[in-house]
Amino acid sequence: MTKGKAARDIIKELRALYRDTLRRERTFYWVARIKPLQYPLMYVTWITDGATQANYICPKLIGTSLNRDALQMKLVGNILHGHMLVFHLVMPHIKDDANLFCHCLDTSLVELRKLRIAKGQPAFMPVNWRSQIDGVSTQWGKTAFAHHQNLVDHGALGENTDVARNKVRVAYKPDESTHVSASLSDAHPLALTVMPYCLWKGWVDSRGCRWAVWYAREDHAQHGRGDAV
Amino acid sequence: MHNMDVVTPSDIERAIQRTFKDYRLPIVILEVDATYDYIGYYEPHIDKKLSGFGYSDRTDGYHVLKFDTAKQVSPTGIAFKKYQQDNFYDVALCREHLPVADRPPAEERFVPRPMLIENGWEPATILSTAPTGVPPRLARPEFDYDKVHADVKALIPMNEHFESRLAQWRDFIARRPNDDASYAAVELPQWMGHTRRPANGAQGTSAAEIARSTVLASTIAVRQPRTVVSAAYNGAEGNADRAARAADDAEAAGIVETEPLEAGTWAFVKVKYPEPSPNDTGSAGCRIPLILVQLAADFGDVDTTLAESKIKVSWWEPAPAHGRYDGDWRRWRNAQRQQHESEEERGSIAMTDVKFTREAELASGVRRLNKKTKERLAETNMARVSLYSQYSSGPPS
Repeated sequence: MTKGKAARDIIKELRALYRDTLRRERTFYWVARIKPLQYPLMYVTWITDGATQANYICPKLIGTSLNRDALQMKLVGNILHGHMLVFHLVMPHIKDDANLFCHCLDTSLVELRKLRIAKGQPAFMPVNWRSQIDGVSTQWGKTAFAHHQNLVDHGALGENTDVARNKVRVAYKPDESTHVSASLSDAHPLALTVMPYCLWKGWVDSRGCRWAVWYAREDHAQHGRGDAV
Repeated sequence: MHNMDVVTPSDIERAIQRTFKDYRLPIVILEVDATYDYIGYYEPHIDKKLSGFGYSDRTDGYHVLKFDTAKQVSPTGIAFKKYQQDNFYDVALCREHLPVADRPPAEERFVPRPMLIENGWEPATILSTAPTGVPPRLARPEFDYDKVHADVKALIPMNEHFESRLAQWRDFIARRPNDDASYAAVELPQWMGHTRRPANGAQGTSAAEIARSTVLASTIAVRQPRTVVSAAYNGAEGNADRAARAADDAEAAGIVETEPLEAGTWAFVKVKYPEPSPNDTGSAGCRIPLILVQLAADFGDVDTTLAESKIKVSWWEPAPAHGRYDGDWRRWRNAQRQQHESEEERGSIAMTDVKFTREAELASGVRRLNKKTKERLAETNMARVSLYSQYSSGPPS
């Protein structure tokens, strides 16, 4: 850090600009993911992410080094906002690659179709679909693109389908990662209310985020709002 | 999961369910034992030139891919965009971050500065040919589940749960595809078995269109009853309509007109069924709204004009169990083969003076409603209670 105030002010201004633009970029997701709840016949948003593998080795005994391979599973979480949460427990003989990504998309679609029918909604998907994915090549890659196109061409996804990769977590720190690692915490009731509060109030700094969390907790406790998203 | 002991695979599922116990949306946990070979299936069809969209775990590369069938943003119907914002503020931290034309001389001290990046949709193609057929199942990967079993046997704690846990593991491993036959039997989603969107984009493309179609779909067709009285018509329809509305209004207001009941006659009683859970669809049993009863042979000193009076009835049920008003009715018997009897409130009796095709029981001990009774059940006002059209094989005959 420079001792010159003028230089520090320049850095602060630059940092503020950059943070603001990254926040705006992330806001696209948070705006999109509310729409399926408001207009379930028009929008579906799907976010997928794998969990940290180390937690899904079995058996796993806290504080004990087992020194054996045992069963290393993978867990993939898929949120179809306003509809359901689909987990995939992936057996160790299945590689984490584009095949798994496409399989998770297809099976999530199957489960969503069943649920939509049970809700009295059409079995076909709405016109607007958004896939929120990781920036890694297994997801942001040619096979995933081709499968999306094939699904659109077969009318399985809507005529207006977006595939987006950008970090979606509320992060004060302006990091550049494109991982969607928020997807599981995203499913937590509290997280669901915090973001709309942030958007509603326009809170963009760490203090504002703390207020948003407080308000969301109070609202959830008093009115039970926010956890049906 | 980070701070939990997990001894068997079912512990993982239980931990997930426990974590989301307050989550109000449905949670589905699927095991993945096989996938299609999507990579091999699409590879020959992907545009060989497709590149430059960038993939990394950083913000390098492009961030949005749009499939736009209406071709509003791209003549190919497919387009990439670097950022979701049309104008993205970035910061150049060194001269190399700037476009060549805007770079300061190399010897000059560089001061970080913002860059306003204007970016639009870039048309692209992904599939150069349309894939056909069904992708093959990915070749069965080699994996040694016997080793897993051996590891597990060595790792799970030796306590009173050891045997049951080991049995769980054996069951889990037995369900894994250990050979080609069991691998081929693993169920995969039906290829492109999704319901195709209608070609005309049904449900509309805007909130207003959807609202309009929802409103229109809920339209109720009403035929104006003939109410004008003259030498040409006596106004019976209008009178019946007014009477029905008055009766319904009275019922809605909790005013139930009750006539004295005649002992030993037949009636229909309104029955309330518990709401079936979503998983019970199709197996929730008979839910016919009105059930046939025979009133007691003697009411004693019970005032049958009061809605809260208790009336002794013996129950009959539609036969078979998922029966209809216009089918057979038989005695409703309990496990001891005795007919069910109970006391019901007078107010729950929705229709009296029920008649049958024969005064006596038919040969098999069943009864059938006569045409007039079925017509009364199907009358507009009563049909709202009886749901006659839903629980009959056709119009009264």
